[in-house]
Parts: sequence; structure tokens; C-alpha cells
Amino acid sequence: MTLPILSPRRPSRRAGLLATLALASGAVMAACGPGDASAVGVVVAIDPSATLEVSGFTLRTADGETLAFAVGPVELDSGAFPASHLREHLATSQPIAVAYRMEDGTRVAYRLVDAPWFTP
Amino acid sequence: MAGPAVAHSLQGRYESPLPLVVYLAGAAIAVGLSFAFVLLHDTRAETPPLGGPRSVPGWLRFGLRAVGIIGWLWIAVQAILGGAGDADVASLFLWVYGWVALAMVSAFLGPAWTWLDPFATLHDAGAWLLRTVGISGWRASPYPERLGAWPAVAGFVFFVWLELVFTQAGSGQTLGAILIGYTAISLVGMAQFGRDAWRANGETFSVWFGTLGRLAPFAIDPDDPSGRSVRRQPLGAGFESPGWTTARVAIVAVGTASIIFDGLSQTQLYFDLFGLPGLPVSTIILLAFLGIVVGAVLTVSRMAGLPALGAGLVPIAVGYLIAHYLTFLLSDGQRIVIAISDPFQQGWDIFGTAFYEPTINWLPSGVLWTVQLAAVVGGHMLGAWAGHQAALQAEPDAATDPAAALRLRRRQVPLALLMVGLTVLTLWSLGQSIVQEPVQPAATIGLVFGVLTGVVSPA
Repeated sequence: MTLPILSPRRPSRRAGLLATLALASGAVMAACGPGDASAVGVVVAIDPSATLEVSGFTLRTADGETLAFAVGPVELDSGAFPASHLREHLATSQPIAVAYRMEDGTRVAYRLVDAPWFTP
Repeated sequence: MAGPAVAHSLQGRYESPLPLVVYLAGAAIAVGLSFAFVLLHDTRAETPPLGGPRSVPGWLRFGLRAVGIIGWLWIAVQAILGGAGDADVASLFLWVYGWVALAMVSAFLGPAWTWLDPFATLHDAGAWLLRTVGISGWRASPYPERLGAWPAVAGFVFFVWLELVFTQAGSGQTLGAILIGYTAISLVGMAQFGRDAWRANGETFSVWFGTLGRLAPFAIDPDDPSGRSVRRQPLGAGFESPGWTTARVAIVAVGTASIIFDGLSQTQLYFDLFGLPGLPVSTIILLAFLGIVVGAVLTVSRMAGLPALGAGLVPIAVGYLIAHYLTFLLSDGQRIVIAISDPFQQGWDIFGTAFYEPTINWLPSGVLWTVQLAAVVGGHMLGAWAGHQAALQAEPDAATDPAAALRLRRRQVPLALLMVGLTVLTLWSLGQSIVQEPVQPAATIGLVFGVLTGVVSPA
């Protein structure tokens, strides 16, 4: 009896390909999921302006609209910065992107990141 | 106390006379023509001889070791004492001086990490201490060959994630704690498999800086078992050294992909696609992107060969490093001035520099864009040359056999396409935050075309 000649198996490559496809699918699904509200613009005011803590700020967007935000507990991963850094953005007019949720009719910012792509 | 450490970006944009697409097309053509040149002319270089061994002076070796261990101790003390601010040295030493500056030194000078490496110094100090008190260690196990350099790749992916996703701005304490944990893993690895075997395969920074060091003019003398000598070599001669395994090509691919991701994640397109994702979604996106790029690189390597991909990608990774992180190095690198005034983040101001504000406003955005363009395109052109030379080594018959030469050229076409694609992608992402498009790009293109063809007078 002649045994069939098996082609060499490459499980690691197949596993890598599958993992890649799975991750890519996951990313696409994540992207298609419900996104939180966000806005991009330049910080034009900080509230209150006299103390170190920043409890709120005002953003001017590309279409000239001004949006007021309260600052909630902010997340600091994925390139986000703390609310105190908003003072630097106010001074330099470097644009930011804000993720926020609505609470009792108020926009509460929970993620602040640089938005270098934005042109005021 | 100074404010938390956060990214400082360049202010102002370069008001380009040309639309970004013209730069992208020019860069793609330059890289494509580089490949065409080396392939059609069958350009080849003689294998360069290594220079004679040169002993690295003891003061330099011990000086570098002292710098490495002082840096490690400084991070550890800050991690224990707490605090957050621009005086944080964990982010300064790891991301600015390590991830960026040391990578550049490794690529353009030589194996500085060999002696700066605090993990190896701690291991040596611990081993000496144990020997002194009469405790002998166990015999090191042989390093499992099947693992290759994959532990280093896994560590590299972890640090990339740490840098790009788990940023935790202002939390040097967390980063310091992670570095201490990584030190423990490194010491266990060195104790189990031997110091040199672990550094060659498992220790992320040794493998990464060592791989970048293939470009450098100085390399560790392979014939000196003490590791105290270096040899002078022509720039890029290290690419022809053996040892381009799948894992080592993968680490270069991860390095390249991570820099591209960093650029892409700061674009309007990324914002439109993903919004401002939190930690879990950002992690998935990052891993998916790294997986896609590494998958593409390893797929191309099956045609062009691992040495061609490894040698081709290292100059590209170095070029990207300069293009993306030069401003980061120049601005955040200045934070050492703050750190020496408040070394333990206790609100001190010893030298009156604790409130120094790093700036790079002296760097014109036009100059920066030019440097970025040159680094990316130059890296790719050098990569085309290096990849071709490495491929030639894998196909020695190509010098005499026309069929083998043709085979070689065909196998490098996917590599050329990959490089052109990477060039355009990374320059596009860089240009989003630097280049201010002209108001009427179509009219500008028409004007440029008219001047080039002589239809329109430049005046």
C-alpha cells in the first residue's frame, strides 16, 4: 500500500491569517457600532478661568458654532489629555476633538484629544 | 508643580504652493524609479569587508552603563514616590530618549544599547553579588529554538500598544511600574536561558535596536566573545549579515506599521471612521492594523525572500521614525530641563527651570515638511537598494544566469509595490497636519504643468 504524500502543514500561517481577519472584522464592527457624540474645534473659553481646575469650556467649530461643555471624569487612554491641558490649547489655539455625552441637556466631555487635522 | 506631560505639537502649518497630491505622486515616482533603476541596471555591490576590531574604551562602556542604571533608578524612585507632570522621567526616558533618540543612535551610529541596557547591568550586578556571597546560580537552559525572536516581537507589540493606546497621559507612575515589571521578566529570562541568549531573542529593546543597528557604521565584533569590541562597517553592510528570520522581519514590520498608525490616527479620515474610540476599540483597531501590515509584509516576503524584506524595511522604519517623531524628540526632549529641577516630582524648583515650557516654534513648518519628505522618500530609496542587494545574495546565480536574474526581478515587484504604497500612505498621513493645501489645487496643478511644459511662463 502506498501512503499518500501529504503537503507540509503550515498551521502557524493559517492561524496568523485567521487572527488577522478576525481582528480586522472586529475593527470594522467596532467602527460600525453606535458612536458617541463628538465635536472638533478650537477652545475659545475656559470656565472658571481663575482656578487650576477646569470645570467647563467653550469650543468654536469649523462652521462658527460655539458649543459649551462641562468636564466630567475624563479618560486618559488612546492619546487623550487631562482637562487642565485645555489651558495650553486656549493659549495656542491648537484644535481639539471632544467626545461627550448629554446629561440633563448639558454636554459632558469625557475624552479630549489633539485634532491636528482640523483647520480653523 | 508643573502640569501633566502631554504631547506638544508643532504650531502653524506649512502653506504649500502645491497640493499634497503632487508631493505624494512625486514621492511614489521617486521610490518606483529607484526600484526600476536597481532592477533594470542589475546594480550590485561587492560584499564590503569589515574593518578591524576596535576595543570600546572602558570609560565609555562604564559611562553608558552608569547612564542606563541611573535612568532606571530615577524612573523607579519616581514610580514609588508618585506625582505627575512634565518632570516625569518614565515617559521621557522610555518614549523620547529610548523609543526615538536611541533608535536613531542605533541606526546611525552603533550598538549603544549594548552597554546602556539597564536590565543587563542589573543582571550582571546581581550575578556578581551572588558570586561574592558564595551563591552559585543554576545552569542556564538552552534557549528553545522554536521560540526564535517571537518573545521580543510580543514585547514590542505590547510597548507599541502602551505608547499608542494605553497612553494614560501624565501617569508616569503607571509606566514606571510597568518598566519595573518588565525588568523582572527580563531578569528571569536571562537567569533561565542565559544573559546573551535572552538578549538576542527575548529582550525586546535589544532585538529592536540590534535590528536597526544593521544600518549603522559600527557593529559589535562577532569574533570577540567578551563583546567589548566593535568593527567599522560601511553603512548598511549589516543587512547582508545572516539571521533574517520571520520574527525579525515581523518586528521591523510592526515598528513600521506602528509609526504609520500613529500618523493615521491623527487624521480626519480616522476621526470620520472611528470617532474618538476608547481603550478596547482602540486596541482592536491597532492590532488589526498591525496584523494587516505584518501579514502583507510576510506575504511579500514569501516571494521576495525574508532578507530582502528585512533589509528593505529597516531604512524605511528609520526614515519614518525621523519623519514622525523628530518634533516629539526636539520638543519633549527638552523636558529634562524640568526634570532636573524637580527630580522626584515633589514640586521642587532646584535650578529654577521647573516651569520651563518646551517649544519648537523656532522650527519653521516648511523645513519640517522638507525633512519629513526627505526622510520618508530617502528611507524608501535606500530600502529599495538594500532590499535588492539582500535579494541578490539569496539568488547568487542571478549574476551569471539570465533566467535567474529575471526571476529575481519578478520576485521584487511585489516589494516595490508595497514600498510605493507605504510611501504614499505615510506621507499622506503626515501631510494632514503639516501641509496647508492651496486654495485652488486644480489651478495650481495646471500652473505647474504649464510651467513644466513651457506653455506658461514662470514670471
